[in-house]
Amino acid sequence: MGTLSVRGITKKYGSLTAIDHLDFDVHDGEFFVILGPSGAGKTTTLKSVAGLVDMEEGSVAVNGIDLTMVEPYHRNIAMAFESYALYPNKTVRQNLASPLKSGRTGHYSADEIEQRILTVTKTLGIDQLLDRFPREVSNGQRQRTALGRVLIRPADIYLLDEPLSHLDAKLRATMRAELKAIAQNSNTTTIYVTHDYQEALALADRIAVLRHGKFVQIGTPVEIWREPIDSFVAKSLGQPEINLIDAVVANGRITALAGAIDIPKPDGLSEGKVRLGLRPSELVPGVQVPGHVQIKGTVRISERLGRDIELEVSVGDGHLIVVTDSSKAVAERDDVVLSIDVPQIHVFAGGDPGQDTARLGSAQQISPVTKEVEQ
Amino acid sequence: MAKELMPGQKRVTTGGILGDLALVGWFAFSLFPVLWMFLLALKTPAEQTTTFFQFSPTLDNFITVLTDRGRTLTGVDFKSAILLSVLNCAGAVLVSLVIGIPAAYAAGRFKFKGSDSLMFNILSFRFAPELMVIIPVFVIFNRIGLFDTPVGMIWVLQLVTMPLVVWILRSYFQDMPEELEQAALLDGYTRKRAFLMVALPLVRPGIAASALLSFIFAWNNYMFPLILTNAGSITVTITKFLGGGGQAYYNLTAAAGVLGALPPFILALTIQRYLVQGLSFGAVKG
Amino acid sequence: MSNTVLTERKEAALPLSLSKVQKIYRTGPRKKGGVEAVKSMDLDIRPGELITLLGPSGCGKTTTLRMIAGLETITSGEILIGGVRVNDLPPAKRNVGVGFESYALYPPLSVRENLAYGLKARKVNDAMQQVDELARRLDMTDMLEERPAALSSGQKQRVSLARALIRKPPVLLLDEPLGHLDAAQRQRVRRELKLLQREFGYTTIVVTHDQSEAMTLSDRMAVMDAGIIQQFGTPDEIFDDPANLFVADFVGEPAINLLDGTVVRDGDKVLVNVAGGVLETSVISAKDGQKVTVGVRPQDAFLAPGVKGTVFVYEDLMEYGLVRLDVHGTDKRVVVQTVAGAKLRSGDISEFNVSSHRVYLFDPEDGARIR
Repeated sequence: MGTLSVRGITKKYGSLTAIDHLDFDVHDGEFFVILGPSGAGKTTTLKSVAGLVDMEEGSVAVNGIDLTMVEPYHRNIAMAFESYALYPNKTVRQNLASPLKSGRTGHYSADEIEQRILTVTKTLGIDQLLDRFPREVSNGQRQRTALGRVLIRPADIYLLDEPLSHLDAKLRATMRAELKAIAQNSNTTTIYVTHDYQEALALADRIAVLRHGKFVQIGTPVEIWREPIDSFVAKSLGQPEINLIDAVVANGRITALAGAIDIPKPDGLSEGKVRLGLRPSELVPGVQVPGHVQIKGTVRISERLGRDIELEVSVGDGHLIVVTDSSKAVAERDDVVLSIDVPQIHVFAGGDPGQDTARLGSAQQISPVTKEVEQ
Repeated sequence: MAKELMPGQKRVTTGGILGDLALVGWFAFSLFPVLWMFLLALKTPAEQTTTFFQFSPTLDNFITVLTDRGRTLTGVDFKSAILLSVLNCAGAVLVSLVIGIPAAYAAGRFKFKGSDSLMFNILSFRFAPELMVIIPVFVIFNRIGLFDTPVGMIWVLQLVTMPLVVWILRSYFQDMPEELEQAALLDGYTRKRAFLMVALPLVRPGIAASALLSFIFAWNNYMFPLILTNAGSITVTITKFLGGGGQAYYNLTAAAGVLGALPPFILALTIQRYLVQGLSFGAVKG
Repeated sequence: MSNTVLTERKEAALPLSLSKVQKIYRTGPRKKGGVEAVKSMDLDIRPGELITLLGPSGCGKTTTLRMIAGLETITSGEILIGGVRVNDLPPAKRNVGVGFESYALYPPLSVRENLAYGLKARKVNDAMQQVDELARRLDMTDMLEERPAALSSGQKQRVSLARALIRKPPVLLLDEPLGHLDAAQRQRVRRELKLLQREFGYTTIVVTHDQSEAMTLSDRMAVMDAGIIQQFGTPDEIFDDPANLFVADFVGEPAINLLDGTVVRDGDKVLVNVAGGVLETSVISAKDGQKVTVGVRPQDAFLAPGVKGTVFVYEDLMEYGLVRLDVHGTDKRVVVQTVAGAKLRSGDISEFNVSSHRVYLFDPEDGARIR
């Protein structure tokens, strides 16, 4: 149980700034997910909170007590490393017992320790491996052991660094649900680092999107999904990625893809170049819904994704990626009409290719305040 | 079947055969002195200057060297020289480990101002020929009364062994992921306990290897004992059988040489396992 | 797409067929005993077709590819490329191009030179234009002047792939060609690979362990396990009509839910009782009282009266939701895909059902599909 308050933490490696004046608070019992690509500074952020790196600037406080100068072993913070960091010379059981035997996480009798080991290993499905050494178990089992070494002990804050990344897709999905159940039941304060947006959406109370050592946006999953602050955040969530297409605002209309998209411009949007964002799953082929925008195109590629299909549709002078139900029976080379609800069309500021630009609003309504969250 | 080679097959070529023959030749050439010493050690004094391979082998030389008979005959006390060498070398290794392990850990883990040049300085002791320092050391030892004492010998021999220990162990500590100790810190252990609990056990193979290697280096050192002791050490004592002006006992020298070469030989065989084994942090990261 | 440069090709795509191909690795002394990596495999691939060999590690898929490439001997059976038996031909004479993960790039040459190397040897005039065009399409223009040592594993993989593609071999063999790429790149490169393959019509075999890669890439796919092809068919056939339990379980994400059930025939209706409730199925051959393993894909299940369970966890993934239900009367937990934003909380009681034609039945003993 604990609240975390982080102010202005900065860490440089030589000339490279890994994290740059990060500010955030994690509330008591909150599940806080840091989402970002590799190299964004996620692990450095966690290690700064844990006291494992020497920060250039900033402070870390738990429950109102400044811990900036406190040694890691006095912080009462638990962390699972992406590299597992299991002690190779100790068995799974000894690894799990390690935090309970240090004397700084409380005092436990041998029976209590054994009881806790059994409980946590049953949950994680590694109770058959207790007497094996880390080198004798699979990668997935190592990762679960590392997770177990964290969950077994009391702590004010739990830090989890990509704890599911080495598991195969099926086990990852199962473990994700187990983690969510544990979080719901135990009400612990957790910071969870991942590059997988589905993990973030599934687990988070709030998501912080990290890029180049700075937070781009912090918000609930719904906020981040519906109102991404810029095109980087929009691209970070969703697979296949959101379609981003260049458009022009002129004469009261937004046009894109050689006129295949031609919609009235919302109030408050000034003329010039913009970029439209259309999520693949919001584009529906074949169904003409009144009031929705219709986009005509030709199916170039159709690929099966489980029960869904993914289409690449040539539209005007570009193409759109569409995800839809496989029962729609759209074949390659078919002409198709895609429809999308106007509020589902995101409008971003115009920019060069590869450059991320701010979200202005939707094609329905331009947001009155767009600069509010910027740091 | 197709003519081309399948994976794992090896083609026999003239070049390859010639290369192998050259290797065998070099092997015989370089091992010949060792063989000659071994044969000489088994010869009687009468046979010692002959070059024949045929003779009646005897272990008498070894017995002479190791017993009072040798001392009466040549005035050389080989047995106590061995004991002294063991004492001095073991002492030097011990000192090197006690100081070298923490030093290697610091050098491998922490980057601080001047850490690289410090490491280079330690290594440069190994570059400098012992002749360069031996005269000043001799003078100093004489003045402060360390001449011909075990403490003095241990002190100079650790100059040979310490850099070795530090450099070998530093790379072991560097290879060991820092996150292992960080995990221990977060488990609630102090840095010292984390070091003792995690780091130290994991570099055990490195400690063993560097200790054995140091022992061999100290054992084989000739210059320091030659100048800084009278009681001598094994390397110096062997040469005394050649006699200063008196009779040269080649056969006894050879027997002493075989005995003196035995410990390094045995240790080298032992160490091999550790050197090959290396570190297995495999379980840390897939 | 308008492609002016990359259109010329010298050789037509060739059909490829494997007939009773077997591979035994001799392990024991004096060549007694051994491991049968590939068991009597038959496979007919049409000219210009893209097929994948999909399976877990050790299923024999890479061995098969290496036998076709000529990097591995064939224990028995024969491989025909363009109707010609190639068992005894060296790799260079088999008309195959390979893009293997470990396929080395020449370190002293830049990426551009690596790609142009084979073309120059064959005196292709516009080699540089072809390299530029292919680089553009595989999103690797910015690495053309780099040396291989400066590239990440994902970039090397794209170079390796490009080098195999640019030679336009009649038969193209690729081993895990997208394994090191991140999700967004993988998507792009996968699609370009597919388009290039269609344009030039290389007969292509891709080996992968990633079921979604196989599903999206293949014209047809062979799902392998234990040295045997479990099913060979289009992605639609594999997903909608799996031949057995292995295929049903290996393909699909989240994985198919499996429950123990008992068949109950009720007049015209075939029902299957799965402790938590009863599902209707269109499997007509099921016998009354037969014990079966029931397969229900998470995407096919929907929340409606049918089988009862307690909500373990609900995950809202914004595009859809996933609810995990502990099925009453069993120790099984099933996953049901829902619409996004469903109002479900852990501990709630809920029910799911499935369209009858999406209820798959398997023999609990050998995993064979009951149709």
